[in-house]
Amino acid sequence: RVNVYYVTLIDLIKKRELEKDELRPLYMDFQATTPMDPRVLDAMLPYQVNYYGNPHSRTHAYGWESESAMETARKQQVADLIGADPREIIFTSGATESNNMAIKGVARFYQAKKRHVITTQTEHKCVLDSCRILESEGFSVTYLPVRTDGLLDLEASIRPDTSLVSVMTVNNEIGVKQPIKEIGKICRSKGVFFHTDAAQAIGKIPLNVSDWKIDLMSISGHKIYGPKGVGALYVRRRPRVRLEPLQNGGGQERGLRSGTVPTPLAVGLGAACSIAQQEMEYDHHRVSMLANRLVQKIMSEIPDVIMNGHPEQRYPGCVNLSFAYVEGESLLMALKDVALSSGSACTSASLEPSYVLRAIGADEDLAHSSIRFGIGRFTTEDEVDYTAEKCIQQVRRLREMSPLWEMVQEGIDLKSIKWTQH
Amino acid sequence: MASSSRAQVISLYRTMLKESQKFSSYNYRTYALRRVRDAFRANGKVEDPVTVERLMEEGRRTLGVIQRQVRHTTDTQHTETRQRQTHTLSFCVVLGFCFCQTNKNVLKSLSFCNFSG
Repeated sequence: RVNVYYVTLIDLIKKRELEKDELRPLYMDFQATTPMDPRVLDAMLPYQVNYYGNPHSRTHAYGWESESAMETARKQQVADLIGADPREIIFTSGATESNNMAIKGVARFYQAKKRHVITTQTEHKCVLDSCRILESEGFSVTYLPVRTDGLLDLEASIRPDTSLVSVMTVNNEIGVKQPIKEIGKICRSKGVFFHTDAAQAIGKIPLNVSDWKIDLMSISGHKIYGPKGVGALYVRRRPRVRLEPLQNGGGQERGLRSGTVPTPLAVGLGAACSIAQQEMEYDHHRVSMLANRLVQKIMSEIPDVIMNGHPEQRYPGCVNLSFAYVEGESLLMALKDVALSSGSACTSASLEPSYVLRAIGADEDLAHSSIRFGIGRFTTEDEVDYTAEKCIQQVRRLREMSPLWEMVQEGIDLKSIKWTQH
Repeated sequence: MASSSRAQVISLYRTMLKESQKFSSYNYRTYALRRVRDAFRANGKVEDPVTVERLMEEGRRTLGVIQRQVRHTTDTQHTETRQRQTHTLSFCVVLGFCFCQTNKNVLKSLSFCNFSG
């Protein structure tokens, strides 16, 4: 009898432990990173296990087969996706390294005659930080402001000594798509190099470096369902863009980025790019449909929700909503079984509201209450519905607790209140 | 070469769905099921035998990917945790049982089990 008692007790304990394991949050943060597509993993595995040669070894079959895989990735996959020549693609360790290489490399190469760089206020941290370093080296940098819908005006700021303009294609926090074609035309006509950080855009919207007159482009592997730790930089050859390399060594990758190219990661990036090219239309249609569903559902049920960024010139999968009278961090904690973020992953450690939202002129309190919903290839309708319902429920609950909401309901204009200072 | 018959196409479709069902990750499973269904639906009207053969080849290749990836992406970490937990629990059971036999104090051994498991 004691045995039986023990067996049932153990079953209960096991069941409770198992339930704890299975309940992981829904993933709705596709701008931070993306899960690897199973097809990409399938392409990479042989190069992790069997075909492990160094692609730069010229004397034996291990090297030859690795090199052939790397070159296939470069040519048929990455280059094909953006309409480039394979000799123009350099594999790097990610978009951050590509951005650093592009900005510091170009500025330093042409520094004898040209000492001015233009960028925007909504760029990724790595671009802004690289520009800051350039400023400390004596360059002058213009940070262009953006309009409230996120789009910008460029022509007036270009000077005769401008060497580079850097504008990201799709913003990672608000999803706004910049008019890259127009900016490319302006830069080409003024003889200025044009760099774009296309980490969030590549594989999601059709891009062509010749049509859009792009001279340098950063690509990130883990934003397009590829492996983490790899990216690429597109460097135009006609007309030639010269770079001072950041990483020196054996002269691999045209001398611009020395170091052994990680074959499995390069193969993974290539596979991710070719899958993205195949699936672009299907994914875009689906992501737009899901994003509309999410936004319609939320906005029809609760008032005072603002979508940050231009409503049309955007990538639909990145939805940034501000919920008035609700604090962003508390809403994130309330939505604990959905993986979301407010602002971007690289700024999530600090308590300040996102600089991107500040740049588009969002009010301080609205900037604090913004949440970014990321929708991607693997998101299902059920996940979107669940997120919307939970969000509505929690926003209502948090607003019930908010004294500001109470005041607004009574008709008091919050901006007219004089908060006393103790 | 004779092109694939309707029966072969349907058989491939069924096999792909059956294999896709085995993904342990919710997102991969739903994606595979949905994508296979939508791809077969979209190409349902294709008549040209060469194109049909090419699509079938692609389908068989994708079936291979699904089969391999189902094996590779089985939640191995969680399986290990459960096994480790089972070991700890069975150890506790044995200890508790021995303890119980010697001291006849059932409650004490029960609480011992709870803390270690």
